Amino acid sequence: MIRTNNRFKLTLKMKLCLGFLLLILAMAFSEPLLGLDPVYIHPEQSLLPPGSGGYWFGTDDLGRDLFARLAVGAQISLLIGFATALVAVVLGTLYGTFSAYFEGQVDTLMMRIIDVIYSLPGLMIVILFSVFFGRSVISLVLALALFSWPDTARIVRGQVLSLKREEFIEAYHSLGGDAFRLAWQHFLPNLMGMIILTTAMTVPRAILTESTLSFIGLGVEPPQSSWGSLASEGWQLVRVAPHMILFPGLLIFTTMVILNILGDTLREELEPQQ
Amino acid sequence: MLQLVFRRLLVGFSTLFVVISLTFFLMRFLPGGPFDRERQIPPAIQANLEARYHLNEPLYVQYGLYLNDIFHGDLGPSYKYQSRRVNDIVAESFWNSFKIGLSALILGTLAGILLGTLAGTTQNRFLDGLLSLFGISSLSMPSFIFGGMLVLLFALKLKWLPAARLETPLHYLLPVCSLALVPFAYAFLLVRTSVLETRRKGFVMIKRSFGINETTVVMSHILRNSLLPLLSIMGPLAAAIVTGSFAVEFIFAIPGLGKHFITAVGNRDYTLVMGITLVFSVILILFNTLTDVLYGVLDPRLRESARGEGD
Repeated sequence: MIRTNNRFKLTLKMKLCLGFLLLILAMAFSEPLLGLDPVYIHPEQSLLPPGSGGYWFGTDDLGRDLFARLAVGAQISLLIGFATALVAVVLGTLYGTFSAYFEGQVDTLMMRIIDVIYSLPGLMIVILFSVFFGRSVISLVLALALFSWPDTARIVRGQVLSLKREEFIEAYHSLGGDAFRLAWQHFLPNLMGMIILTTAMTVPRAILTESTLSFIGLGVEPPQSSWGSLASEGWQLVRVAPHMILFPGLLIFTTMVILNILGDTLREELEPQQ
Repeated sequence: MLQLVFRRLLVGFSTLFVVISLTFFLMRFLPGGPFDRERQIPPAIQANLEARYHLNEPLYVQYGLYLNDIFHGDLGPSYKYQSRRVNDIVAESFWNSFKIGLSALILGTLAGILLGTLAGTTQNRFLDGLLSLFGISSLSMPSFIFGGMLVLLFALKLKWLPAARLETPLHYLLPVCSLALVPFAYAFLLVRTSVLETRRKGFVMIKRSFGINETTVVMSHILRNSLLPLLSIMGPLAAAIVTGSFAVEFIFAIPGLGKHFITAVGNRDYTLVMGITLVFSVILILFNTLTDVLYGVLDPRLRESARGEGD
């Protein structure tokens, strides 16, 4: 049986990671809750170093509060990360289940399609798609999701293939159960671990790709800004105000470390042992 | 074996076809053409320009012409730099990207193998933990931030190394290091796990029980068996290098393929965008095919179950 029966134990490492994640979420929500102002321009307070003038992270070239701007950026970056994972995982789960359910030729064909997608130069196609769809947050999410779902599809397919051989599924078939209830009541609960795992793996990758795109100027467009586009602004001013790239960089890096450690721990717990 | 090669080539060619068609139609359906400028061009000139590049023909004719050109190895004229061919631009910038990319791939993988073996064989749990944290940090560090920090520290603060462009060998140091980070992280994590697994295998115990010294055991028995899985990630590694090169070439102002691609997307230089996408796809496909075939040569078990499902 592949099902992980033992209940999940939270280790200290995971608690620490979850704590940090909550902090970053709190930062994203701090902008509306604390009434921070990311927009107002104070020309006389331009490029203040961190800590001075009551600005924790300093100000940008127009005198805007960098912390407030990063808080708004957190909303966009996290939204893109989680929305991409959601779309990709739903799509991948459906595709993987379908492929494994029919097996044979259908399965082979569907897996060949995935092979082709894997060999595409992902970032370039994502750029083309996001330009094509009009470079909004939604188009970025769609473009990113389009290249993230094959991972989920592969993992889910493997899982469904081995689930199908299970006795309780055979028993269900022999009793004449219908396919929809089979999927809903038996496949889904047993796939839940893998679904959580692939979500945890997709989120950081989406955040990373989005920030890279925004950094090279092909991601979210003003007036919206993500951590990546803030880092890009900071890079233009790296000679005069290094704090403008240090803080976005530090935030992206910390978030990535946390999400990667969480994903790794989940993998150790949930991945079926060969 | 032949079947495996054949399968991979089939996937390779269909991928190329998908890439060509996808980029072609995506670029053509974008609002705005390559000759829509802020300043109005007289309609007659606009029409002449479009006629010169066959942009006035029906889409399927353009597609056919483009496929025909590619088949003859011609990527067409650049729409932006009107006296130049895409082939020349690509050939010129390819070497810049190639030199950095290959050096980064080699440097990163070697460093990963070295530290991965160290982390996997050390009895010191603290050292292993430290190295593993280092590994996962490298995996989490976007190349553009790492590159930015390197420039900030070594070029702007310490003034030891140049901050941009490729002129002397010293100029290569920072971009190659920035780009090597991801291959390093992948190789490190994989080799560490693989070494840990191999260490528990029976034959290693037997070698040890013969009294062979530890260095020999590690070098010629553990390492040899642990490096095979590394081949399977060469494809993803090459992809990571390609992805990373966009940010790194942007930061260090290197006139490579990635930098040209970014500019070309902005200029709606259809043929240049398609040409660069095509070149990158060919590189990735070659890498994938090569590693799969090598894998088949080195590990006979895979030839039997050759299903061509490698990443």
